[in-house]
Amino acid sequence: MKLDYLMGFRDEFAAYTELRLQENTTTYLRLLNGNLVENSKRTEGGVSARVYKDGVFGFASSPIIDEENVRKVIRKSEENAALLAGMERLNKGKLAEEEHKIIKDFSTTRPRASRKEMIEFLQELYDYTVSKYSDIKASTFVLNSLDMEKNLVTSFDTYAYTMVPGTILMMSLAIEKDGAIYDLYDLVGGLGQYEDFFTDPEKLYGQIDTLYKRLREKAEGVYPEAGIKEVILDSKISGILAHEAIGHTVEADFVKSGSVARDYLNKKIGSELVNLVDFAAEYENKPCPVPVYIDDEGTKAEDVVIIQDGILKNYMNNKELALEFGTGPTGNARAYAFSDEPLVRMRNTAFLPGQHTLEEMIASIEDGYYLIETNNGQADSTSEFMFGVTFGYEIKNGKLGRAIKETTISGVAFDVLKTVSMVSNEMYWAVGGMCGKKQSIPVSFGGPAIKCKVNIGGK
Amino acid sequence: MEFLDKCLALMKEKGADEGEVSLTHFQKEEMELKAGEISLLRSRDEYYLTLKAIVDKRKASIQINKIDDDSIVEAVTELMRNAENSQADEANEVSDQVQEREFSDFKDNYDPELMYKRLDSFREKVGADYPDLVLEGALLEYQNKYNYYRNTKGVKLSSNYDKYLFYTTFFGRRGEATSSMHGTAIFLENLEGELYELASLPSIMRETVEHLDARVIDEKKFRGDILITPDSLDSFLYSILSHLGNSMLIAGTSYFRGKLNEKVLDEKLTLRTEPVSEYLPVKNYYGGDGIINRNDYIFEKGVLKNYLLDLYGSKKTGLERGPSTGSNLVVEAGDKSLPEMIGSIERGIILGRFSGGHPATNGDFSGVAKNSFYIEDGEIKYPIKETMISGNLFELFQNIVGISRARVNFGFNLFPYIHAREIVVSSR
Repeated sequence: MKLDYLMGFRDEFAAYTELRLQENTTTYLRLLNGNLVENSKRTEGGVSARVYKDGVFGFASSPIIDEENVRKVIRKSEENAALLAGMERLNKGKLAEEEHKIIKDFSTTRPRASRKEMIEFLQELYDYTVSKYSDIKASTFVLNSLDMEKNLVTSFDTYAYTMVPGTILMMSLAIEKDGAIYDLYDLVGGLGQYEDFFTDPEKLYGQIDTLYKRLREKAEGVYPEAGIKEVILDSKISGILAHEAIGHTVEADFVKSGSVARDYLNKKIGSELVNLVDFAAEYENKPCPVPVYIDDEGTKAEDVVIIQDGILKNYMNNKELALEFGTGPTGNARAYAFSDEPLVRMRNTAFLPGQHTLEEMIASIEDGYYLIETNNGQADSTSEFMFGVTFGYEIKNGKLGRAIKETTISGVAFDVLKTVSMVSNEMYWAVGGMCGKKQSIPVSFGGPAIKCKVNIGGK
Repeated sequence: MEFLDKCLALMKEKGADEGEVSLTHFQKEEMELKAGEISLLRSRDEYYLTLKAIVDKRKASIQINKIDDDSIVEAVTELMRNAENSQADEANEVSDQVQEREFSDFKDNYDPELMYKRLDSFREKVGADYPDLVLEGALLEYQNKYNYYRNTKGVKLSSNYDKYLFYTTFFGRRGEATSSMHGTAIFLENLEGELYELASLPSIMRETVEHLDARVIDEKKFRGDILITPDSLDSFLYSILSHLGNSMLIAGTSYFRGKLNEKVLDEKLTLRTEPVSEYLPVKNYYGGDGIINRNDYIFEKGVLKNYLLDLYGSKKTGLERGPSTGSNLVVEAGDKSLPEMIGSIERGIILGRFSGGHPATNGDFSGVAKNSFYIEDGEIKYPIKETMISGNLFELFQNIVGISRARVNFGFNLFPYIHAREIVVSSR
């Protein structure tokens, strides 16, 4: 923690200023067919300052953290703000200046594992896989961790220290059938460091077995029939719907530009079963996978209820947009690296659970699909979305049928929400989410399974 | 650069058999237009020091962004510990293609006032010419990049070049109607020209407004042709090239495994990598493995001429190191005019942008045809929405009907229009 050091520069602030000292540390190990093809670590740290003047921001950063450089960074950000303010002449009002003091450290409390132990852990997973399944064409085990450590001091006497680590293990298998390669992957991990999750490889053998079983089903599966279908989106896919297709359209910067959600505030945009929240830090008193207690503008982060009983209630914003929209900041201003400026970003976005069991939902569909795994998603200004689906099943006469091969689903989110007719009573948080809006940043999404209608691609 | 030699000496002193070190220094000056306002001027000074050590064929790498003595000693100490605890692999080595070369294309033309003038003029021109177009964002960034590479076998390389990046996204908005987002990223040598004339911007901005009147295709499902625009071609080409890189060739899952010098795609397709091209401002003089890249064919008239492996991938697979690892793609121009190509399509779509999942390893793909148009009887009929396409990547590029004479220069890729058959088009 370097808050005391940073606080020594408060006298240098001549205007609204955020001074941030940050270090991101990434560890990346990749075992491909038993070969350790990546064994790397990356540390990126430094200091940045952002100054607000008459409606514009000046920003400067440097990886060198000494007194002279920190002062230089503050001065450069002031110069940039003055230069741009002179050219653009926006003359806006003052930003919110709340005073908060927050310290949150999610570092592991267990003894740290050595690199050797991590590599051996991956090797044990590989050995188990190839000894049990002789027809594996390729296997990949990737361990990827990111520790984000931030110190923030502002001109309005907010100071904060947060250390938020995330660790993900990706397990990917490939097999060959009739000359074609099929693959499937699964992710394990979440908020915490390696030691918080990966103490015993045997605990993951069950997940490898399930992954292989599903992969075999997929290779022998069928192409879905193209067209509008009744489907159950399992929690990973409903979560990506929440983030990509709805969440981005209600980020206030996008709303200001003219997103489709601009006209929908306080209007009914979905079935009454639809409730969507961007959780700041905790769900049911437990930390979410990407907890944000204070954002990078120094705003204490709050949950944002986006949709309540099918009605669009709120947008996510930052200080500048709160000023513009005449509301308070929500704590959604987040920056990835020390050299990045805070942008309006989601945190942990999820539909809220409903009343039905998954079994009841499957039983209610005569001809449709149960879509379980996804590998990516994109959405648009119109709220039209596309998600890659890597695993799922047919549903015929209320029962699960054959597995399906890889496909894509699409729809217009605000239309799809109107078709939601059942919501499961479970809650699941996806791990390993990265959102790529200008800067790539960890996010989480999740929720229950939802029954709705989407357009499914097929042959 | 003595500093790098000091890092290598430290690695050797601590027990490395081989080592390499690379220092990249970026100066970046960014001006951002957001929701109609130029509201951010951002200056960044970035260092990336990458150290790689090999001990008894065991490898580790570490990257830090500090260059003071204490940080380097700490990084090298951890690097050696990680390497010693790693897995031995005969393919781990540093390049012995000993060369001492300096590359430079530095023009020193950072000008914040001209940046503002160009962005301001872009904003005004777009506002005047396309009142129904919403500029979601536009970013203009000056980048000055230095890189220095050294290894323990005597390779000494350095490069320096500067360029501008212009990136913009927009969509149409009229009343409550909204059209799909579109945009482009372009690298420039300088700011001599106006931004709104770059690459395909005039046509994609006009088309984005036309999409305010997009329709669902009447027929639910049909098989037809696809005219892939320069703006959507990268979605497909990068998926094809992933089969030529380290990961899939080492895993043994590449479609192109064992097919070097065989005709694998349509003979009309010639694709080159041009890491040092006279007409592309982005340069990739050498790879992270310390080997100098070269301009060469990837596919020549449909024949696979090179894989895109780096040194490790090459040693691991026994195949040659590629001319690059897939940077700066240039598709050779064909002999068709765009009207000629559209006129030859009985039924199909012009694909403006592809929003799809990663194609499956066997090449099957499906996704949404964004910013696209329906063609029937050789004529563009109307802009389309909520339309999905599916097909097989390899089959599509084995069935090319024609390639345009005109190409679009994005500063890092040079792409024409490609007409291919066939895909499945489905709508709601």
